[in-house]
Order: sequence, then structure tokens, then C-alpha cells
Amino acid sequence: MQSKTHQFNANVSKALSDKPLQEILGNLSQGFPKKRAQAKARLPEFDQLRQKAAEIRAHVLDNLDLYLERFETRVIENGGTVHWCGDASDARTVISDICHRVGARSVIKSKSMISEEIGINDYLEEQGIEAIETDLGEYIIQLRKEPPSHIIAPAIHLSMAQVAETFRENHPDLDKQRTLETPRALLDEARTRLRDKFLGAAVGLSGANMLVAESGSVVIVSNEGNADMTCGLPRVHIVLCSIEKVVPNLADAWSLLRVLARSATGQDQTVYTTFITGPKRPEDLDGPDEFHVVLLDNGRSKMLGGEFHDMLRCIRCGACINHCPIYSTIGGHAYGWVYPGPMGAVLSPGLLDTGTADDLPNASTLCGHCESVCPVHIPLPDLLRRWRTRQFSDKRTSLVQRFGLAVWTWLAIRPRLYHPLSSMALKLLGIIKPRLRPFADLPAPHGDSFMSQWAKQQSRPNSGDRS
Amino acid sequence: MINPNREQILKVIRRATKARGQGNPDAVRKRLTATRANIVPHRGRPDNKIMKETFIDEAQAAGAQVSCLSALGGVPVTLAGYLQQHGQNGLVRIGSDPLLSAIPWQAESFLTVQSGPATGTDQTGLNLALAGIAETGTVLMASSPQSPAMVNLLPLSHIVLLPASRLVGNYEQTIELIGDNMPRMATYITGPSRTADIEQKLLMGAHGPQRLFILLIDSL
Ligand code: SF4
Repeated sequence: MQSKTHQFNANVSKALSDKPLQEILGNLSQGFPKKRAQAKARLPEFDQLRQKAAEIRAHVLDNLDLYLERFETRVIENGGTVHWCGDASDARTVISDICHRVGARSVIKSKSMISEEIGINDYLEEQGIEAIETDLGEYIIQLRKEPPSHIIAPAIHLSMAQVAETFRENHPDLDKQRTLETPRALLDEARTRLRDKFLGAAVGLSGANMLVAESGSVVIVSNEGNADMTCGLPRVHIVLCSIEKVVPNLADAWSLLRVLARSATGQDQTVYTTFITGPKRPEDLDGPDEFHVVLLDNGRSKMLGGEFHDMLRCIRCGACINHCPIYSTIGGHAYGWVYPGPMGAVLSPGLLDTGTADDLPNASTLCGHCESVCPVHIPLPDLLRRWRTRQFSDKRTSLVQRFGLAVWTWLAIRPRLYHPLSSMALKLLGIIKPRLRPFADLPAPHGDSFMSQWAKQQSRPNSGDRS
Repeated sequence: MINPNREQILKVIRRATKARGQGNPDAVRKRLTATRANIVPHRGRPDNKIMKETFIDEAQAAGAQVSCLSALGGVPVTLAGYLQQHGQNGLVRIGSDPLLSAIPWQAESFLTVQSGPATGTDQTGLNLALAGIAETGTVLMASSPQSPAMVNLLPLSHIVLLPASRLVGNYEQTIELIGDNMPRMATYITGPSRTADIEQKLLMGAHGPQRLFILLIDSL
């Protein structure tokens, strides 16, 4: 997928003036965050489990090569094939080669953010192979030729009416009389359309939530059941997964699964949690003849051991996104690439070309909400701050910003100048505040600065007497 | 054949690991040979007395329907009633486990059972569960020649036969149960298929079954 992270400011302006989008964003807090809080309340051990989950992920990163090698060995023993891919183009080639070899004319897909990362759909289409998204949200945005706006709920930015319109435009044989006014009607329409596609595709392309080194299994979770059908119906199953997703053993996988769904959608467990171990076995009545795992690096190994190492612990639950005040103001598209919200603001600059995603780490109030809900305790605000520091020391921040900071530094070490000037600035802010744009929810300063209040108090008689 | 990508990726990883003084083959070996449960929440360790009750409560909370039957003989009439109530036909796709063949299907003329792989038009699929997990009311379906995986996914109604003796408290216990025989597809199912992709409104029956009906058999 083409990155538009460099147009962040323009994207934000567009999102802020998009009324329907703003209405939908206004309802976000009533969904996932509320459900997560309820799920957490039902499980007294939740925080203990988060600690364990963080430990497991950290341990994996400390021994990544060993676990990947073991995983590979087990997949091969189970009758599968492992393909190591350094970058997006390697992965695209491997996948399209398999499709060509088996003569696939269509590929069914279950939701995979890595597949968005490598832009596989467009690539396959260019070669005459139809790529069909089957997750309902992904299907809708594929028809609309839009990128996902959320890693868990890709069409969260759309209203029911917009979905109905999309189906009418893209399903030309749809009966004009048929009403599509309810989510049920829309779901039934998508289910019927996709059923035939499922049964007709030669290749199923899925992502993976985890890779289990102990057994060589791939873990995939889905609520719709589309992932299981993607893995189980076509002749060939290709799993596309990034290298950091491996976990040591099955018990570790379950420790992570206990916090994943709760953090993501607030469910105690996702409806379908499937461990896939190799291709169809002799005598099996269904299942794929071929099982391929495409292991993608695409910049991750370089993050290992560096400043952003901890980001690789991420299990893609989306909790930081759901709780981010910036995300719920600008939506996911404004971030300009696959990964939105705090996790995207840390990850994207690490994976994309230097300088193209510089605005993202700056689009944060550093309120810390993301870190407080992250199931693997990733210090997101701290990592965002590190990007800012790096931009500054690499001289990639704007001249105005650098000049402003230089002036401030000069003043800050001269208290006699600093205090009167900052008091004046406070008063000025009180005057111009009403003229700021409505979404700039900046509290108007009232009263004096701390220092002048302190000075006044000190000069009052008995100021130190607390009785 | 040496894959340059593989060597390159592993090289970069090893360099980073070494620079941080990490990488402990002994710890890794230990973790790969002795799978031990980490933290199992209290809810996943119910007393035998409340195991069944916990399972049923949790399964219902996830949107499944559960019926307790004393023996296999009660399956046909219960199933026929269920399908008629939902306006479905009597055709049932079943797995071929001997336990399923032992059900007196001919007792209900409404039902026609058929084993074999599922088709896209099957309305009802019935399979035997390997385990029921009380913690979240989850059933474990393990694929095998006797238990084709798509029977659990393609039909509108998914019927699960669960012997009460196969109830366990938590997921980790199913790891022991499976041992070295990891099935090709081990699917842990918690409630019927669903989506909330349109305006965050929860709907049952996305691509998978709209209904999940668990028949808990006390005598087995
Ligand atoms: S950073 Fe943490 S909260 Fe955000 S998606 Fe990753 S695991 Fe979830």
C-alpha cells in the first residue's frame, strides 16, 4: 500500500471537516473501550496476565533467531514450506509465484495488515489474479478502494448508509427493490456474494496472530469464521506473517490469547481461535494440499536491539488505538498508511523511508492512555518521544520549530526576562483562545503563572502558617 | 540450497541479540520441551462440582445454546425439535466418529444424516468435540478424517456433541489432552460466528454458523 504519511497535515484537515466521519468518531468510546473495561472487570487476574504476556514477548525478542529456526524445522516436519522474505517485493514475488504455479485465477483472503503493508492485492490484480477480501470490513473497503482505518475494524469509519451505497454500486445485479437498510441485510448480501468466491478460489491467503515454535503451528483468530474458511477450503493455503510473531510454546500462546481478545474487542475469547499445523493429512476429507508460511522481515530485524525494540512486542490488539484521543479525533486514514494510532505512530516511521512519517510521532499529546491499556506494556509515549528527539538531533524538524525552541531555551535560563514574558504570554493566550478553531480544545489560562502566585503568597503575612 | 534472505535475516537478528548480551539456548530448549502453564485464572480452575455449570454459563454468555441430555438416545428428538424451531430442513452433515454412528438416528424420521465433507449449501453440521473448556464456554474441535473441519464452519447451524467427561477447566489442559498428536486444525470455538464491522453493531452469523448448539451428554 502506497504511504501517504507525508501528507499528514492535509489528511488531518480533511478528516476534521468531514462531518459524517466526525459523527462516527464521536461514538467510538462507547464501543471497544467500554467493552474492554467490562472484560477486565470480569477477570481479576487481568493485570497479572498482562505482565506475563509482556515477559513472553520480551523473551521471544531476546531469542528470536532460535525460535524462528525451531518454528521453521517444525513446519517442514509437518509437511509445510517456509519462505523467508527480506522485504515487501520478495514476499509479493513468492506469493504470486505460488499462485501462478497452481494456476490460481482468484485468491481469497482473510484480514492481514501485513498483506496491506506489502500491497499484495494490487500486485496480484496487475497479473490478472483476483484478490478477494472476505472479512466483512475489509470487503467493504476493498470495494470502495480505500485503505483500512483500523487494524481490528477496517471499516469503522463508515456509516450503514455508506455501506449500502457501496453495495448498490458494486453489485449491479442487486434487486433495486431490495432494502439494505439494516446491518443484517448488508451482512446477508456480503455473505451470499462471498460464499461462491470461497468455494471457487484455488488459493487462500491469511495472516497469523502467532507462530508457535514448539509445534510449528500457526495461530489465527477471527470472529466471522472467514479465516478458518480461507485456511480450509482452497487447495493451497499461504500464511503471511512477520518474523517477530513467533512464541515459544502452546501454553505461551494461550497466555497471550487470554489478553488479546479482551484488549481488542472486550470479548473473553475470539469466536474462532485456530491452530493450524501443516497441510491436509492422508485420509482427511478437507484441507489444503499445500501449506506455505511466508516469513516477512521488512525492517523488523533492524528494529531489534535499537531504540524501538520494545515496539516489536506488539500483538496488534488495537487497544492503544481505541483509547487514543488523537485517533478518535482524526480517524485512521489521516495516519496515511496501514497502522494508525499510537502503535502506528511508533511503527510506521521505523518501517517506512526516513523522514516520510515524521509527523506521526508528533501527533500525540503524550497523555499516556495508550501505554496504560497496552497488554504487553509497550512504553508508547516514551517511544514517541524518542522519535521526536531523533528528528531534532537529525535536524529534520522545521526551522520555525528549531528557532522557537532556541528562543525559549535562551529565555528559560534568564528568569528575570522569562517570568514577565511568560505572564504576558498567558494573558495573550486568554485573549486569542476564542479565535482558535473549535476542535482545538485548549483550556483558557486563568490567573497568574505559578511563580507569580507563589511570590504573592510569600509576601502575605503568615504565609507559611498552615494551621 | 542456501536462501540468501534467510541467512541475511538471521544474521541481522543474531548481531542485535549478541550486542545486547541476549540469546540463551538453554532457556530456549527448556521452554520448548517442557510446556508448563503460566498463569491460569481462577475461573479456569473450577471445582468438579461446578465445572458443568461454569461451562454452560460461559457458553451461553458467548451466545451458544446448551442442552444437557442423559444419553445419546436423546439426540435425534432434541435435534429435530431444534431444527424445526429454526425452520431448517432435516438434512444433517455429520462427522464419521463411531460415537456419532452410535446415535439412533432412525428414531426421528425428520432427520437424514450424511457423512462426508461439508458443502456450501449444508444447513446443519454436527461434529464431536474433543473437549469443552469451562473458562470461556469454548469447545475444541480437532480435525481428522472422522471430523472434517469445514463441517464446523460452512453450515448455518453448528451442532456440537460434547461428552460431559470431556469437560476441562482451562485451555492448558487441552494441550495435555492433545499431547504429541497436534491435529491439522485445532479450532477453539466460543459462540456462533459474528461481526460488528458495520457501525459496531453486533450481528450473529457472519461467514460461519449463525447458531451454535451444544449437546452435553451426561453419561459419556
Ligand atoms: S501497541 Fe500494545 S495496545 Fe497497541 S496494538 Fe500493540 S499490543 Fe495492542
